[in-house]
Amino acid sequence: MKYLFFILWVLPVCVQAQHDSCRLKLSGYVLDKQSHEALAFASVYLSQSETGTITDLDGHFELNDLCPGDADLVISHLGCQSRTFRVQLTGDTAYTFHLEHDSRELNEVVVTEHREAYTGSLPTSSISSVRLQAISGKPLGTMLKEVPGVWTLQTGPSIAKPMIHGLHSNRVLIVQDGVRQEGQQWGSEHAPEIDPYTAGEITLIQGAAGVRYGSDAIGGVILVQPPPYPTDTAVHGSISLAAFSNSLGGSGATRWSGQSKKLPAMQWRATGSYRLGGDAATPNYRLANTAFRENNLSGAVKWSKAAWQTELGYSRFSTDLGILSASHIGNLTDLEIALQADTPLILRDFSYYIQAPYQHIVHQVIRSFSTFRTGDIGHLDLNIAYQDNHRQEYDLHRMSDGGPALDLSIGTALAEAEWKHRSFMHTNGSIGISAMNQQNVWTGRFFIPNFISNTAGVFWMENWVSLPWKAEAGVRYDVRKLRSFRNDGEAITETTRNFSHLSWSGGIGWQQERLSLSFNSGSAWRSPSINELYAAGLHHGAAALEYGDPDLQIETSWQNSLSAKWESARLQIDLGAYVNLMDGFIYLEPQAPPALTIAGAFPVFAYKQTNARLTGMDAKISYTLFREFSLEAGAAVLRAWDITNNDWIIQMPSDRLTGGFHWHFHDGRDQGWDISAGITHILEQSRVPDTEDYAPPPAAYTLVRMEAGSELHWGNTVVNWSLSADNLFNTAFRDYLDRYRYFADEPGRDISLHVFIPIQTKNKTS
Amino acid sequence: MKNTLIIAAAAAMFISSCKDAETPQPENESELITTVRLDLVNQSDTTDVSTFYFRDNDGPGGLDPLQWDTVRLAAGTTYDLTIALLDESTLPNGDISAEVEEEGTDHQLFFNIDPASLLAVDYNDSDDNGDPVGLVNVATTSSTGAGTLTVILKHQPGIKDGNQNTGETDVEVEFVLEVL
Repeated sequence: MKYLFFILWVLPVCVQAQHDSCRLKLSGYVLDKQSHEALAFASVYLSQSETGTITDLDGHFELNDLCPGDADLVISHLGCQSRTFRVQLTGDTAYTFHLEHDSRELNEVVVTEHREAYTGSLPTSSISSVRLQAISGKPLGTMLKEVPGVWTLQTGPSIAKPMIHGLHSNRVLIVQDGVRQEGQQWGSEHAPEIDPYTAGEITLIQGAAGVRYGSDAIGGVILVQPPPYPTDTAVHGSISLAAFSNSLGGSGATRWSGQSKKLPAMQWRATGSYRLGGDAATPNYRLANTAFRENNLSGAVKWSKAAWQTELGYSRFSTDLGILSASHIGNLTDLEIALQADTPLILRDFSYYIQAPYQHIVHQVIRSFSTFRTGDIGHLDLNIAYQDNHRQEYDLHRMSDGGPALDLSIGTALAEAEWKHRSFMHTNGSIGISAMNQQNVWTGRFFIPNFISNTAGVFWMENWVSLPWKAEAGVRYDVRKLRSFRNDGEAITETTRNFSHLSWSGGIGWQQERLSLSFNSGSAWRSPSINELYAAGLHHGAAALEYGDPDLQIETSWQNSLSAKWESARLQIDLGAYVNLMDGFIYLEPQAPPALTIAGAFPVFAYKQTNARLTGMDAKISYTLFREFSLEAGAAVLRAWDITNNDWIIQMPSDRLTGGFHWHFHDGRDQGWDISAGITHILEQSRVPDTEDYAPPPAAYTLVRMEAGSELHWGNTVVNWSLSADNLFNTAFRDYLDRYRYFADEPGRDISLHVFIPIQTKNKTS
Repeated sequence: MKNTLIIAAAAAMFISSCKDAETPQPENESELITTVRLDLVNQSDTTDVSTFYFRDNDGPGGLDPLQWDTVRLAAGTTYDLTIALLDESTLPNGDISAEVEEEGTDHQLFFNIDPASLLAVDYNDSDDNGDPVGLVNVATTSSTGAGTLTVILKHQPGIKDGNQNTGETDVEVEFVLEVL
């Protein structure tokens, strides 16, 4: 256990960063299906590239320099009939193959475990480790914008929340290292407390994935997964550095991982990162007090035995985020003055100094994941975690004790047990239970009450594969008891609400050499969040009075999504369409008339429920013109309609079109180069409700991005670097989904340099 | 396996400490301003004292303001005008004007009169930098008429420069003004 305290840094390595299309890595293990023991010297042959390898003593193999697309792997081992399995390579991937040794049942090679964690029929996208390097140093929300169908809800340049198919906050679940992130995620200005440097891959499930992940997974799930542990005894390390011209900021991260020499069963990894930025610059002025600082640590130790594995991890995320001075307003008059001004009313010279108003957040997670073999019929996974989220918001108005105006502390304990049965009649599946206890305590100014929430759920899902067909079905039932406590000065009143609901999902897929189609229909739900029920009073800084409704009912979603993929040597097409029908969709409705207070007029908002229909389409096409020069185009469209009130829904993303090229070539010294450029056009949001917004949606805008990257050789070390320019033409624009649009422009040109240095110690054998 | 036990123990400890959540502190806004009081003393007859109130004792939202006086003044008169800002939601009442005076370099009161000819308000106090705060003033009426007097308190930490349009509004109360 003491290792937990001494590992405090860095991570793995593994992947040689290439922006290269044909530098993908496929790695994994070949295990005996019954005993789960490693199969050494198994042959792994890739038909497409006519290359192969054999597994080492740990059953591990690695194939490098692969091109994206289908990969047919022929795996054979002494005493087994060789089997072919098709996998899709879109990024660096790791699989575990289980080979059937029993001669009576030589039916197939079964993939039972995959880093992409989710293999259902909902559309998924992922950002590979290679791509994560090229966009390193940015907050998670901004990184995810690369995925079609994902937008960000922003509060300026440093606070970004992912929005999937128009849904955000409590409707999008973030799962890091298998643990659902729990903090004050209800707030639209509360960014996810995730350090993207810990991720080996980020996968996005678009749609209602409530069966596996529980309530709240209505819009989708973001899976932040760590890179795999190394399997040799060398210590693997890396240093990632990035510098940004716009905020004169930078970030650095170092990751280390290895395997204990004395205790070969023990593997470990550690990451540390730091991000810093000053006031961001728009083309015409600086955004006063948008500086930020962030430091993160995480580490994990894993212990593996033949019959069980266990991993213990800890992570700490800490950030200070400045809030644009000009956006902190007292009343409607202040807002009107701000809206009429072309430039923010408070400007300052560039500074790294963070003054009030600002947020200080610390998020800590301690978790344990264990898996046990349960005889020959399956294995049991046990996931236990405790996380503590402490959010302090400092207002312009200092409190008399100098402390934060809003201080919220929430602790979440969760436990999950899932039993996965072995493949039976082409069917894999699992059954599980989960429980969560959460308590929230506030001090300072009241906005949401103290509460204790207890949740329990049970789920069952099965997945049948017999190529070209596959099908899946799952069902889950959850209950939640929410007790909240308020103190009016004389007595403490306790309010209890009970919520329960069924989630289900079903899907079918068909996959041929080039074409694959899948359809998924599922239902997910969530109970109203604490602010939707009980918020009462002034939202300081936002000049609004917000009232929750303690009688709100659960919100349910029934979602149907269809996706189609075509992949040939030159052409790749990805299409997704979805219809999401939501019953009891909770939204903030403006109330008339504004409230007259001592501080002037305030608009009044109340949480209401309605029935909504969200329909949309995401498309991505790429075409290889000639060797390693490809053109790309994409589109994301969403229509969000309030069925009850016959009107559009406020704060929904407008249509987005993208286009670009990617060129990979080798120079005279056979050094690989990658050059790419992209253009993004965001249309003006014309589909807004009649209820008055403070200001009309901003005009359409077009941004251009360019990237160039290559490698440097330092002895045996290959250093990857890339230079990119966001908003290349320094366009002044405002975005409909950014709350600062009432006050200021978005940041202008940002040139950034990213460097990735792998460090590998000699593989000492003792 | 040990890990599991340790985390389970940590979780159990946490669950047993739920008392925190069950005993919330009382809800009160520190620095709440519920009341604006205008005290006017006729400079040529100090027994001629008028007091006008705006009172909203439960703070923003909730119940409507309790008292909202019409400011009635005599024409052709010069008054000493002092502003009192109070928190009457608690006992004893909070004296916010004292805090404003103390943090004078971060605050300024502004008086908007419509039509402007009804009343002239001149600052008669200053903060540590020699800039006006607006708690003590001289108000002069000339001819009769009716209109409005808006009293505004701005919180302008580090940006106070006499500009009424910057900073955060702490108080903005529009009184009906009659000069008789």
